[in-house]
Amino acid sequence: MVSFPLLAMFLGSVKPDGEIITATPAFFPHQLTLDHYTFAFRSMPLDSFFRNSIIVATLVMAFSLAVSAYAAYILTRFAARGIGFITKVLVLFYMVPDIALVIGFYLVLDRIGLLNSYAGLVLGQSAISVPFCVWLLWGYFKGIPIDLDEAAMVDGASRIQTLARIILPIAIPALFSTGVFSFVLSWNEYTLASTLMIAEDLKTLPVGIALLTREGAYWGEIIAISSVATIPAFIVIAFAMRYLVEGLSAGAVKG
Amino acid sequence: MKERGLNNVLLASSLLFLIPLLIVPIFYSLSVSLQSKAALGRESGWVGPENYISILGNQEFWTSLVFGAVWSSVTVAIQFIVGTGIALALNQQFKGRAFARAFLFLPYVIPTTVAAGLWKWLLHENYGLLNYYVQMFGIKVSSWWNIEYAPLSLTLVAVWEFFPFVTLCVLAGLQSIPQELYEAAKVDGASAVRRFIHVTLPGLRSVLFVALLLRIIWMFNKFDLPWVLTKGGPIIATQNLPIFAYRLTFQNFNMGMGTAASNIIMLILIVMTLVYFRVYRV
Repeated sequence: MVSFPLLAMFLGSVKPDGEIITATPAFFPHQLTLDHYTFAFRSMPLDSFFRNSIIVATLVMAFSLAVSAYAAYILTRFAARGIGFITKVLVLFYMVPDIALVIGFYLVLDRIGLLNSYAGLVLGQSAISVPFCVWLLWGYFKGIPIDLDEAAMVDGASRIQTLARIILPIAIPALFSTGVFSFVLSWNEYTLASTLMIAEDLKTLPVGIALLTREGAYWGEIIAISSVATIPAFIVIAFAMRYLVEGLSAGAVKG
Repeated sequence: MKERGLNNVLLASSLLFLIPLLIVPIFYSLSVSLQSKAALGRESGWVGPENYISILGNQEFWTSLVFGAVWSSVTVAIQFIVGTGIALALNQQFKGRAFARAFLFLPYVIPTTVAAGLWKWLLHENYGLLNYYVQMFGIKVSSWWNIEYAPLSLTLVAVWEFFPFVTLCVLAGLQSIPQELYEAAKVDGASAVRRFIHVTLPGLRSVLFVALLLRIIWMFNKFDLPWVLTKGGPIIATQNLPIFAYRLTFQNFNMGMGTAASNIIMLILIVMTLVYFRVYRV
Protein backbone atom coordinates (compact mmCIF):
# COMPACT_ATOMS: atom_id res chain seq x y z
CA MET A 1 0.00 0.00 0.00
CA VAL A 2 2.63 2.47 1.10
CA SER A 3 5.03 1.64 -1.70
CA PHE A 4 2.31 1.71 -4.34
CA PRO A 5 2.88 5.35 -5.44
CA LEU A 6 6.62 4.88 -5.94
CA LEU A 7 6.18 1.60 -7.79
CA ALA A 8 3.54 3.25 -9.96
CA MET A 9 6.04 6.01 -10.68
CA PHE A 10 8.86 3.66 -11.75
CA LEU A 11 6.49 1.53 -13.84
CA GLY A 12 4.78 4.60 -15.29
CA SER A 13 8.06 6.11 -16.42
CA VAL A 14 8.59 3.24 -18.89
CA LYS A 15 5.05 3.26 -20.30
CA PRO A 16 4.38 4.74 -23.73
CA ASP A 17 2.34 7.96 -23.76
CA GLY A 18 -0.79 6.11 -24.88
CA GLU A 19 -0.84 4.23 -21.56
CA ILE A 20 -0.24 7.37 -19.47
CA ILE A 21 -2.55 9.89 -21.12
CA THR A 22 -5.60 7.67 -20.89
CA ALA A 23 -8.81 7.59 -18.92
CA THR A 24 -8.22 3.90 -18.07
CA PRO A 25 -4.65 3.71 -16.75
CA ALA A 26 -3.22 0.40 -15.54
CA PHE A 27 -0.61 -0.30 -12.87
CA PHE A 28 1.61 -2.50 -15.03
CA PRO A 29 2.85 -1.34 -18.43
CA HIS A 30 1.85 -3.40 -21.48
CA GLN A 31 4.69 -2.06 -23.56
CA LEU A 32 8.09 -0.92 -22.32
CA THR A 33 9.79 2.17 -23.65
CA LEU A 34 12.54 4.54 -22.59
CA ASP A 35 11.10 7.36 -24.70
CA HIS A 36 10.37 9.60 -21.73
CA TYR A 37 13.93 9.34 -20.46
CA THR A 38 15.47 10.07 -23.84
CA PHE A 39 13.02 12.88 -24.60
CA ALA A 40 13.50 14.46 -21.17
CA PHE A 41 17.26 14.38 -21.40
CA ARG A 42 17.43 15.50 -25.00
CA SER A 43 14.81 18.22 -25.19
CA MET A 44 14.51 19.76 -21.74
CA PRO A 45 16.92 22.06 -19.86
CA LEU A 46 17.77 19.12 -17.63
CA ASP A 47 21.53 19.31 -17.89
CA SER A 48 21.55 22.65 -16.09
CA PHE A 49 19.16 21.33 -13.39
CA PHE A 50 21.41 18.34 -12.81
CA ARG A 51 24.63 20.32 -12.99
CA ASN A 52 23.41 22.90 -10.46
CA SER A 53 22.09 20.23 -8.10
CA ILE A 54 25.34 18.28 -8.21
CA ILE A 55 27.53 21.36 -7.74
CA VAL A 56 25.49 22.76 -4.85
CA ALA A 57 25.01 19.41 -3.08
CA THR A 58 28.72 18.60 -3.34
CA LEU A 59 29.73 21.99 -1.96
CA VAL A 60 27.18 21.77 0.87
CA MET A 61 28.48 18.31 1.74
CA ALA A 62 32.14 19.40 1.74
CA PHE A 63 31.46 22.54 3.75
CA SER A 64 29.19 20.76 6.25
CA LEU A 65 31.65 17.92 6.83
CA ALA A 66 34.59 20.25 7.39
CA VAL A 67 32.73 22.55 9.77
CA SER A 68 30.83 19.86 11.65
CA ALA A 69 33.82 17.51 12.08
CA TYR A 70 35.79 20.33 13.66
CA ALA A 71 32.85 21.47 15.81
CA ALA A 72 31.90 17.97 16.95
CA TYR A 73 35.50 17.11 17.79
CA ILE A 74 36.07 20.24 19.86
CA LEU A 75 32.70 19.86 21.58
CA THR A 76 33.36 16.26 22.63
CA ARG A 77 36.88 17.10 23.85
CA PHE A 78 36.49 20.44 25.58
CA ALA A 79 32.93 21.17 26.55
CA ALA A 80 32.66 19.64 29.97
CA ARG A 81 30.75 22.47 31.58
CA GLY A 82 28.13 24.30 29.62
CA ILE A 83 27.53 21.31 27.39
CA GLY A 84 23.82 21.26 28.21
CA PHE A 85 23.47 24.85 27.09
CA ILE A 86 25.39 24.28 23.86
CA THR A 87 23.25 21.24 23.08
CA LYS A 88 20.12 23.32 23.52
CA VAL A 89 21.43 26.07 21.24
CA LEU A 90 22.25 23.51 18.56
CA VAL A 91 18.86 21.79 18.81
CA LEU A 92 17.12 25.15 18.61
CA PHE A 93 19.10 26.14 15.52
CA TYR A 94 18.44 22.76 13.96
CA MET A 95 14.71 23.45 14.33
CA VAL A 96 14.72 26.92 12.74
CA PRO A 97 11.90 26.81 10.18
CA ASP A 98 12.69 26.96 6.47
CA ILE A 99 10.51 30.04 6.16
CA ALA A 100 12.67 32.03 8.63
CA LEU A 101 15.83 30.90 6.83
CA VAL A 102 14.57 31.71 3.36
CA ILE A 103 13.39 35.20 4.28
CA GLY A 104 16.53 35.96 6.31
CA PHE A 105 18.91 34.68 3.65
CA TYR A 106 17.04 36.41 0.85
CA LEU A 107 17.39 39.77 2.60
CA VAL A 108 21.03 39.26 3.58
CA LEU A 109 22.12 37.88 0.20
CA ASP A 110 20.24 40.65 -1.59
CA ARG A 111 22.12 43.18 0.52
CA ILE A 112 25.55 41.73 -0.22
CA GLY A 113 24.81 40.89 -3.86
CA LEU A 114 24.91 37.10 -3.55
CA LEU A 115 21.44 36.24 -4.81
CA ASN A 116 21.70 33.96 -7.84
CA SER A 117 25.09 32.62 -6.80
CA TYR A 118 26.23 29.14 -5.80
CA ALA A 119 27.91 30.59 -2.72
CA GLY A 120 24.63 32.08 -1.49
CA LEU A 121 22.61 28.90 -1.85
CA VAL A 122 25.40 26.76 -0.37
CA LEU A 123 25.47 29.04 2.66
CA GLY A 124 21.69 28.87 3.01
CA GLN A 125 21.44 25.10 2.73
CA SER A 126 24.38 24.66 5.08
CA ALA A 127 22.32 26.38 7.74
CA ILE A 128 20.06 23.31 7.60
CA SER A 129 22.80 20.76 7.05
CA VAL A 130 25.53 21.77 9.52
CA PRO A 131 23.54 21.51 12.79
CA PHE A 132 22.28 18.07 11.73
CA CYS A 133 25.80 16.91 10.84
CA VAL A 134 27.21 18.20 14.13
CA TRP A 135 24.56 16.20 15.96
CA LEU A 136 25.36 13.00 14.03
CA LEU A 137 29.15 13.29 14.37
CA TRP A 138 28.97 14.34 18.00
CA GLY A 139 27.36 11.02 18.88
CA TYR A 140 30.13 9.19 17.07
CA PHE A 141 33.10 11.18 18.38
CA LYS A 142 31.86 10.73 21.93
CA GLY A 143 32.50 7.02 21.48
CA ILE A 144 36.17 7.50 20.53
CA PRO A 145 38.25 7.26 23.73
CA ILE A 146 40.13 10.40 24.75
CA ASP A 147 43.15 8.17 25.55
CA LEU A 148 43.82 8.07 21.82
CA ASP A 149 44.11 11.87 21.66
CA GLU A 150 46.31 11.97 24.69
CA ALA A 151 48.65 9.32 23.36
CA ALA A 152 49.03 11.27 20.13
CA MET A 153 49.67 14.52 21.96
CA VAL A 154 52.27 12.94 24.20
CA ASP A 155 54.03 12.02 20.97
CA GLY A 156 54.06 15.73 20.12
CA ALA A 157 51.10 16.02 17.78
CA SER A 158 49.07 19.24 17.87
CA ARG A 159 45.28 19.27 18.27
CA ILE A 160 44.69 19.72 14.57
CA GLN A 161 47.19 16.97 13.71
CA THR A 162 45.48 14.66 16.20
CA LEU A 163 42.14 15.36 14.59
CA ALA A 164 43.46 14.89 11.05
CA ARG A 165 45.68 11.84 11.59
CA ILE A 166 44.04 9.90 14.44
CA ILE A 167 40.38 10.80 14.82
CA LEU A 168 39.20 11.37 11.25
CA PRO A 169 40.61 8.09 9.89
CA ILE A 170 38.78 6.18 12.63
CA ALA A 171 35.60 8.12 11.89
CA ILE A 172 35.52 7.43 8.14
CA PRO A 173 32.29 5.35 8.26
CA ALA A 174 30.54 8.08 10.26
CA LEU A 175 31.89 10.79 7.97
CA PHE A 176 30.67 8.85 4.96
CA SER A 177 27.12 8.48 6.33
CA THR A 178 27.03 12.09 7.46
CA GLY A 179 28.26 13.19 4.05
CA VAL A 180 25.54 11.18 2.33
CA PHE A 181 22.89 12.78 4.55
CA SER A 182 24.07 16.32 3.89
CA PHE A 183 24.37 15.68 0.15
CA VAL A 184 20.79 14.42 0.02
CA LEU A 185 19.50 17.23 2.25
CA SER A 186 20.79 19.68 -0.34
CA TRP A 187 19.80 17.54 -3.33
CA ASN A 188 16.18 17.40 -2.09
CA GLU A 189 15.93 20.99 -0.86
CA TYR A 190 13.30 23.16 -2.54
CA THR A 191 12.44 26.26 -0.50
CA LEU A 192 15.82 28.00 -0.51
CA ALA A 193 16.79 26.77 -3.97
CA SER A 194 13.60 28.12 -5.56
CA THR A 195 13.87 31.52 -3.87
CA LEU A 196 17.60 32.31 -3.79
CA MET A 197 18.24 31.12 -7.36
CA ILE A 198 15.84 32.97 -9.63
CA ALA A 199 17.86 32.92 -12.84
CA GLU A 200 16.65 30.23 -15.26
CA ASP A 201 20.07 28.60 -15.70
CA LEU A 202 20.68 28.36 -11.93
CA LYS A 203 17.62 26.31 -10.98
CA THR A 204 18.19 22.96 -9.29
CA LEU A 205 16.47 19.67 -10.01
CA PRO A 206 13.66 19.84 -7.38
CA VAL A 207 12.80 23.34 -8.60
CA GLY A 208 12.72 22.10 -12.19
CA ILE A 209 10.42 19.22 -11.23
CA ALA A 210 8.06 21.60 -9.43
CA LEU A 211 7.89 23.84 -12.51
CA LEU A 212 7.14 20.94 -14.84
CA THR A 213 4.49 19.64 -12.44
CA ARG A 214 2.81 23.03 -12.38
CA GLU A 215 2.61 23.01 -16.18
CA GLY A 216 1.20 19.52 -15.86
CA ALA A 217 1.66 18.50 -19.49
CA TYR A 218 4.62 16.13 -19.82
CA TRP A 219 3.61 13.54 -17.19
CA GLY A 220 5.73 10.78 -18.67
CA GLU A 221 8.81 13.00 -18.58
CA ILE A 222 7.98 14.29 -15.11
CA ILE A 223 7.90 10.83 -13.59
CA ALA A 224 10.98 9.77 -15.56
CA ILE A 225 12.98 12.72 -14.17
CA SER A 226 11.48 12.11 -10.72
CA SER A 227 12.65 8.50 -10.86
CA VAL A 228 16.19 9.68 -11.56
CA ALA A 229 15.92 12.32 -8.82
CA THR A 230 15.22 9.61 -6.23
CA ILE A 231 18.51 7.78 -6.85
CA PRO A 232 20.31 9.56 -3.98
CA ALA A 233 17.44 8.51 -1.70
CA PHE A 234 18.26 4.88 -2.48
CA ILE A 235 21.88 5.55 -1.55
CA VAL A 236 20.77 6.94 1.83
CA ILE A 237 18.63 3.88 2.47
CA ALA A 238 21.36 1.49 1.40
CA PHE A 239 24.35 2.99 3.18
CA ALA A 240 23.41 5.57 5.77
CA MET A 241 20.03 4.70 7.30
CA ARG A 242 21.40 2.16 9.75
CA TYR A 243 23.64 4.85 11.17
CA LEU A 244 20.69 7.14 11.78
CA VAL A 245 18.73 4.32 13.46
CA GLU A 246 21.68 3.66 15.78
CA GLY A 247 21.83 7.35 16.64
CA LEU A 248 18.13 7.37 17.42
CA SER A 249 18.42 4.21 19.53
CA ALA A 250 21.16 5.82 21.58
CA GLY A 251 18.97 8.89 21.98
CA ALA A 252 15.99 6.77 22.91
CA VAL A 253 17.91 5.03 25.65
CA LYS A 254 19.01 8.38 26.96
CA GLY A 255 15.57 9.97 26.99
CA MET B 1 43.95 29.36 34.23
CA LYS B 2 45.66 29.79 30.88
CA GLU B 3 44.53 26.30 29.90
CA ARG B 4 40.92 27.20 30.54
CA GLY B 5 41.19 30.37 28.46
CA LEU B 6 42.51 28.34 25.56
CA ASN B 7 39.68 25.85 25.98
CA ASN B 8 37.11 28.59 25.78
CA VAL B 9 38.67 30.02 22.63
CA LEU B 10 38.58 26.59 21.00
CA LEU B 11 35.00 26.03 22.10
CA ALA B 12 33.94 29.37 20.72
CA SER B 13 35.73 28.68 17.44
CA SER B 14 33.80 25.45 17.01
CA LEU B 15 30.53 27.35 17.14
CA LEU B 16 31.63 30.18 14.84
CA PHE B 17 29.64 28.64 11.98
CA LEU B 18 26.45 29.74 13.74
CA ILE B 19 27.18 33.39 12.99
CA PRO B 20 27.02 33.46 9.17
CA LEU B 21 24.63 30.53 8.89
CA LEU B 22 21.99 31.37 11.45
CA ILE B 23 22.57 34.40 13.64
CA VAL B 24 23.08 36.95 10.84
CA PRO B 25 19.99 36.00 8.79
CA ILE B 26 17.77 35.71 11.87
CA PHE B 27 18.82 39.01 13.40
CA TYR B 28 18.82 40.80 10.07
CA SER B 29 15.22 39.79 9.50
CA LEU B 30 14.45 40.91 13.06
CA SER B 31 15.88 44.34 12.31
CA VAL B 32 14.05 44.63 8.98
CA SER B 33 10.76 43.80 10.71
CA LEU B 34 11.28 46.80 12.99
CA GLN B 35 12.25 49.28 10.29
CA SER B 36 10.63 48.52 7.02
CA LYS B 37 7.27 49.79 5.97
CA ALA B 38 5.37 48.34 3.05
CA ALA B 39 7.92 49.71 0.54
CA LEU B 40 9.88 47.36 -1.68
CA GLY B 41 12.29 45.86 0.79
CA ARG B 42 14.21 49.00 1.68
CA GLU B 43 14.27 50.22 5.22
CA SER B 44 12.34 53.38 5.94
CA GLY B 45 13.46 54.17 9.45
CA TRP B 46 12.38 52.61 12.71
CA VAL B 47 8.71 51.85 12.93
CA GLY B 48 8.84 49.90 16.18
CA PRO B 49 6.33 47.08 16.64
CA GLU B 50 4.01 48.49 13.95
CA ASN B 51 4.42 45.51 11.60
CA TYR B 52 3.73 43.06 14.42
CA ILE B 53 0.61 44.93 15.43
CA SER B 54 -0.76 44.90 11.90
CA ILE B 55 0.00 41.16 11.59
CA LEU B 56 -1.91 40.40 14.78
CA GLY B 57 -4.78 42.54 13.53
CA ASN B 58 -4.87 40.69 10.22
CA GLN B 59 -7.72 38.18 9.90
CA GLU B 60 -5.71 36.16 7.37
CA PHE B 61 -3.00 35.59 9.98
CA TRP B 62 -5.47 33.97 12.36
CA THR B 63 -7.07 31.89 9.61
CA SER B 64 -3.63 30.61 8.61
CA LEU B 65 -2.69 29.92 12.22
CA VAL B 66 -5.84 27.88 12.80
CA PHE B 67 -5.52 25.97 9.53
CA GLY B 68 -1.85 25.20 10.23
CA ALA B 69 -2.60 24.03 13.78
CA VAL B 70 -5.48 21.79 12.72
CA TRP B 71 -3.71 20.43 9.64
CA SER B 72 -0.50 19.63 11.51
CA SER B 73 -2.37 17.96 14.38
CA VAL B 74 -4.48 15.81 12.07
CA THR B 75 -1.58 14.74 9.82
CA VAL B 76 0.64 14.00 12.80
CA ALA B 77 -2.09 11.92 14.45
CA ILE B 78 -2.50 9.82 11.29
CA GLN B 79 1.28 9.61 10.81
CA PHE B 80 1.45 8.12 14.29
CA ILE B 81 -1.25 5.53 13.74
CA VAL B 82 0.21 4.45 10.39
CA GLY B 83 3.84 4.78 11.46
CA THR B 84 3.46 2.84 14.72
CA GLY B 85 1.38 0.12 13.09
CA ILE B 86 3.95 -0.41 10.38
CA ALA B 87 6.81 -0.39 12.89
CA LEU B 88 5.12 -3.14 14.93
CA ALA B 89 4.61 -5.18 11.75
CA LEU B 90 8.21 -4.65 10.70
CA ASN B 91 9.42 -5.75 14.10
CA GLN B 92 8.12 -9.28 13.42
CA GLN B 93 10.38 -11.84 11.80
CA PHE B 94 9.46 -12.46 8.19
CA LYS B 95 11.14 -13.12 4.89
CA GLY B 96 12.30 -10.01 3.07
CA ARG B 97 12.05 -7.83 6.16
CA ALA B 98 15.20 -5.83 5.43
CA PHE B 99 13.92 -5.11 1.94
CA ALA B 100 10.48 -4.07 3.21
CA ARG B 101 12.09 -1.76 5.78
CA ALA B 102 14.25 -0.11 3.16
CA PHE B 103 11.37 0.41 0.78
CA LEU B 104 9.06 1.83 3.44
CA PHE B 105 11.53 4.55 4.39
CA LEU B 106 11.86 5.82 0.84
CA PRO B 107 9.05 8.43 0.91
CA TYR B 108 10.84 10.26 3.72
CA VAL B 109 14.11 10.64 1.79
CA ILE B 110 12.92 11.48 -1.72
CA PRO B 111 12.72 15.14 -2.77
CA THR B 112 9.48 16.76 -1.61
CA THR B 113 8.78 18.06 -5.09
CA VAL B 114 8.96 14.48 -6.38
CA ALA B 115 6.38 13.41 -3.80
CA ALA B 116 4.19 16.35 -4.76
CA GLY B 117 4.47 15.74 -8.51
CA LEU B 118 3.89 12.03 -8.08
CA TRP B 119 0.65 12.55 -6.14
CA LYS B 120 -0.55 15.22 -8.54
CA TRP B 121 -0.12 12.62 -11.26
CA LEU B 122 -1.77 9.78 -9.32
CA LEU B 123 -4.75 11.95 -8.43
CA HIS B 124 -5.03 13.65 -11.82
CA GLU B 125 -8.73 14.01 -12.64
CA ASN B 126 -8.31 12.58 -16.16
CA TYR B 127 -5.31 10.24 -16.19
CA GLY B 128 -4.58 9.54 -12.52
CA LEU B 129 -4.24 5.88 -11.61
CA LEU B 130 -5.46 6.39 -8.05
CA ASN B 131 -8.27 8.64 -9.23
CA TYR B 132 -9.24 5.86 -11.63
CA TYR B 133 -9.36 3.27 -8.83
CA VAL B 134 -11.46 5.58 -6.68
CA GLN B 135 -13.85 6.11 -9.58
CA MET B 136 -14.37 2.36 -9.79
CA PHE B 137 -15.96 2.63 -6.36
CA GLY B 138 -18.40 5.11 -7.83
CA ILE B 139 -16.74 8.20 -6.32
CA LYS B 140 -16.34 10.92 -8.92
CA VAL B 141 -14.30 13.95 -7.92
CA SER B 142 -13.98 16.87 -10.34
CA SER B 143 -10.61 17.86 -8.86
CA TRP B 144 -8.70 16.62 -5.80
CA TRP B 145 -7.36 20.14 -5.33
CA ASN B 146 -10.62 22.09 -5.20
CA ILE B 147 -11.80 23.86 -2.08
CA GLU B 148 -13.63 20.80 -0.85
CA TYR B 149 -10.92 18.16 -1.30
CA ALA B 150 -7.61 20.08 -1.15
CA PRO B 151 -7.22 19.83 2.66
CA LEU B 152 -7.88 16.09 2.49
CA SER B 153 -5.44 15.50 -0.39
CA LEU B 154 -2.79 17.61 1.31
CA THR B 155 -3.19 15.56 4.48
CA LEU B 156 -2.94 12.29 2.58
CA VAL B 157 0.31 13.28 0.85
CA ALA B 158 1.83 14.58 4.09
CA VAL B 159 1.02 11.34 5.91
CA TRP B 160 2.55 9.32 3.10
CA GLU B 161 5.75 11.36 2.99
CA PHE B 162 6.40 11.68 6.73
CA PHE B 163 5.09 8.58 8.53
CA PRO B 164 8.47 6.81 8.04
CA PHE B 165 10.01 9.11 10.62
CA VAL B 166 7.58 7.75 13.21
CA THR B 167 8.29 4.19 12.08
CA LEU B 168 12.01 4.83 12.43
CA CYS B 169 11.64 6.21 15.97
CA VAL B 170 9.32 3.41 17.09
CA LEU B 171 11.64 0.73 15.69
CA ALA B 172 14.54 2.32 17.55
CA GLY B 173 12.40 2.41 20.70
CA LEU B 174 11.33 -1.23 20.34
CA GLN B 175 14.97 -2.28 20.24
CA SER B 176 15.55 -0.63 23.60
CA ILE B 177 12.83 -2.71 25.35
CA PRO B 178 14.53 -5.67 27.03
CA GLN B 179 13.39 -9.02 25.61
CA GLU B 180 13.18 -10.48 29.14
CA LEU B 181 10.16 -8.27 29.89
CA TYR B 182 8.22 -10.02 27.14
CA GLU B 183 9.31 -13.44 28.30
CA ALA B 184 8.38 -12.65 31.88
CA ALA B 185 4.97 -11.46 30.73
CA LYS B 186 4.51 -14.62 28.69
CA VAL B 187 5.41 -16.79 31.67
CA ASP B 188 2.77 -14.89 33.64
CA GLY B 189 0.29 -15.89 30.93
CA ALA B 190 -0.27 -12.40 29.46
CA SER B 191 -1.95 -12.38 26.05
CA ALA B 192 -0.42 -10.62 23.06
CA VAL B 193 -2.76 -7.67 23.54
CA ARG B 194 -1.91 -7.37 27.23
CA ARG B 195 1.79 -7.63 26.46
CA PHE B 196 1.36 -4.76 24.01
CA ILE B 197 -0.50 -2.60 26.54
CA HIS B 198 1.68 -3.36 29.55
CA VAL B 199 5.14 -3.89 28.06
CA THR B 200 5.38 -2.33 24.61
CA LEU B 201 3.47 0.92 25.16
CA PRO B 202 5.18 1.92 28.43
CA GLY B 203 8.54 1.06 26.87
CA LEU B 204 7.79 3.32 23.92
CA ARG B 205 6.35 6.19 25.92
CA SER B 206 9.35 8.51 25.88
CA VAL B 207 10.20 7.77 22.25
CA LEU B 208 6.64 8.42 21.16
CA PHE B 209 6.48 11.66 23.08
CA VAL B 210 9.70 13.06 21.63
CA ALA B 211 8.73 11.96 18.11
CA LEU B 212 5.30 13.52 18.58
CA LEU B 213 6.73 16.90 19.56
CA LEU B 214 9.26 16.89 16.74
CA ARG B 215 6.66 15.96 14.15
CA ILE B 216 4.23 18.62 15.38
CA ILE B 217 6.95 21.28 15.26
CA TRP B 218 8.02 20.21 11.78
CA MET B 219 4.53 19.91 10.34
CA PHE B 220 3.48 23.23 11.82
CA ASN B 221 6.45 24.88 10.09
CA LYS B 222 6.11 22.89 6.86
CA PHE B 223 6.40 25.09 3.82
CA ASP B 224 7.59 23.23 0.72
CA LEU B 225 4.99 20.46 0.48
CA PRO B 226 1.82 22.57 0.77
CA TRP B 227 3.41 25.32 -1.33
CA VAL B 228 4.22 23.02 -4.23
CA LEU B 229 0.88 21.21 -4.02
CA THR B 230 -1.61 24.03 -3.47
CA LYS B 231 0.23 27.35 -2.93
CA GLY B 232 -2.11 27.67 0.04
CA GLY B 233 -5.15 27.67 -2.21
CA PRO B 234 -7.75 27.56 -3.53
CA ILE B 235 -7.84 31.18 -2.28
CA ILE B 236 -6.45 30.56 1.22
CA ALA B 237 -8.17 27.27 2.03
CA THR B 238 -4.89 25.41 2.71
CA GLN B 239 -2.70 28.31 3.80
CA ASN B 240 -0.61 27.76 6.92
CA LEU B 241 1.58 30.36 8.63
CA PRO B 242 4.77 29.77 6.62
CA ILE B 243 2.84 30.20 3.36
CA PHE B 244 1.23 33.35 4.77
CA ALA B 245 4.67 34.78 5.58
CA TYR B 246 6.12 33.71 2.23
CA ARG B 247 3.33 35.35 0.24
CA LEU B 248 3.67 38.59 2.20
CA THR B 249 7.40 38.66 1.52
CA PHE B 250 7.76 37.37 -2.02
CA GLN B 251 4.39 38.06 -3.63
CA ASN B 252 3.37 41.34 -1.97
CA PHE B 253 7.03 42.35 -1.47
CA ASN B 254 6.06 43.64 1.93
CA MET B 255 9.34 42.88 3.68
CA GLY B 256 8.32 44.49 6.98
CA MET B 257 5.15 42.43 7.38
CA GLY B 258 6.79 39.31 5.94
CA THR B 259 9.70 39.36 8.37
CA ALA B 260 7.32 40.13 11.23
CA ALA B 261 5.19 37.10 10.35
CA SER B 262 8.25 34.88 10.06
CA ASN B 263 9.53 36.11 13.43
CA ILE B 264 6.20 35.27 15.04
CA ILE B 265 6.64 31.75 13.63
CA MET B 266 10.13 31.69 15.20
CA LEU B 267 8.66 32.75 18.53
CA ILE B 268 6.10 29.94 18.39
CA LEU B 269 8.95 27.56 17.55
CA ILE B 270 10.99 28.73 20.53
CA VAL B 271 8.06 28.12 22.86
CA MET B 272 7.52 24.64 21.42
CA THR B 273 11.25 23.89 21.65
CA LEU B 274 11.26 24.88 25.32
CA VAL B 275 8.48 22.35 25.87
CA TYR B 276 10.63 19.81 24.02
CA PHE B 277 13.59 20.51 26.33
CA ARG B 278 11.35 20.10 29.34
CA VAL B 279 10.19 16.71 28.12
CA TYR B 280 13.48 15.44 26.74
CA ARG B 281 15.62 16.94 29.53
CA VAL B 282 18.70 17.45 27.35
